[in-house]
Amino acid sequence: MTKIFLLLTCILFLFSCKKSDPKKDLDVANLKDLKDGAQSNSSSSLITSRMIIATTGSVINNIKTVDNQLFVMGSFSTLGSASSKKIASYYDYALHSFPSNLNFGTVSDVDLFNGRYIIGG
Amino acid sequence: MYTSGSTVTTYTNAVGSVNCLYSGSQIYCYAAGAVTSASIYSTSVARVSSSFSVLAYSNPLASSNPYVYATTYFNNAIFMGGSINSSSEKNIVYSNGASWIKSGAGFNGNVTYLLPFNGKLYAAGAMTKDGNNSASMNYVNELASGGTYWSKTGTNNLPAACVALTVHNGQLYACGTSGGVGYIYKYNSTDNVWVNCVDPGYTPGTLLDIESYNYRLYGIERNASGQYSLVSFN
Repeated sequence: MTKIFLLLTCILFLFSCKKSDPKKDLDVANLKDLKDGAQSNSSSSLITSRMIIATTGSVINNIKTVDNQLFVMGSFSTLGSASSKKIASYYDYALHSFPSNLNFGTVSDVDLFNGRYIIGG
Repeated sequence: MYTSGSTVTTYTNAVGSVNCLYSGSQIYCYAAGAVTSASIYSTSVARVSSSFSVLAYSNPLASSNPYVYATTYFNNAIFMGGSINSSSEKNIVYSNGASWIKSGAGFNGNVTYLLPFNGKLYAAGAMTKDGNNSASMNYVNELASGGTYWSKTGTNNLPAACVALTVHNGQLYACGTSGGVGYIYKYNSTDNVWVNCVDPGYTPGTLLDIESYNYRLYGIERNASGQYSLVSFN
């Protein structure tokens, strides 16, 4: 019985040593350091998402942050939509028409001036 | 055109195309490109007054068929960059309110982006030398506040002409396309070098623009089949 108890104790001890394996922790740390180091030293920037926003035949001229909104400008059709957008606001991982009744021409730029959006194209 | 709520009003006395707008002065919104303010004269730049009427601004550019890609405000003057080829303009000019004046020696190639940041004005484009074809220039160059002449930004150069700049997390970023592959570089001002910041596992198509928004860096990418994607980076 004592031998079995000692054997279980040894197994538990070895298991606890395995859980806190310093080499494994070091590997994780190194991997993190490599990623962080890449960003700070060689400044690698991992792409985090790529979303198709306009179909072939579209034109996108500009993206710009105005009034805390990200605008996409040009003359473009989004996937699954027959209508062409000229300027759209990006939020909730989708493009939303802005303003809803602008449906002609090609937009190149937008800016906020005296409380109104000036749109050029 | 301008919005008022959901209503869009189109100006009828501005003819031609507008490529860029700048409203930072809060007095006028400047619109530039290949603008003709029909009732006055061909000018390439117009201004929208606080009452939302369009006026010509300053005297016309001297270049024939100028095209303005970028406009901004720096050192109490409006700057324009583009394809503005006359010897008295050389692709970058500023206005004293009456006429357009070449900034420094200008550049030998088109200016596509202007960005004031940290007390300097940065000009990006396809330039390789100054407007005298004398001093070597980078694809991004800087003008100090109160300065007269442009100098290279970085001891190294970007891989190809730069199409856009942005400030993200307090640092300057540049993008363009070299050999069909887009690039994004970050400027390390401490070491005065440009550093590639595209992950080796990502091969962008043509990169057309970058912008910082909501603590993330976004880019517009066009692939070989003509599809556009919005890409975001850490």
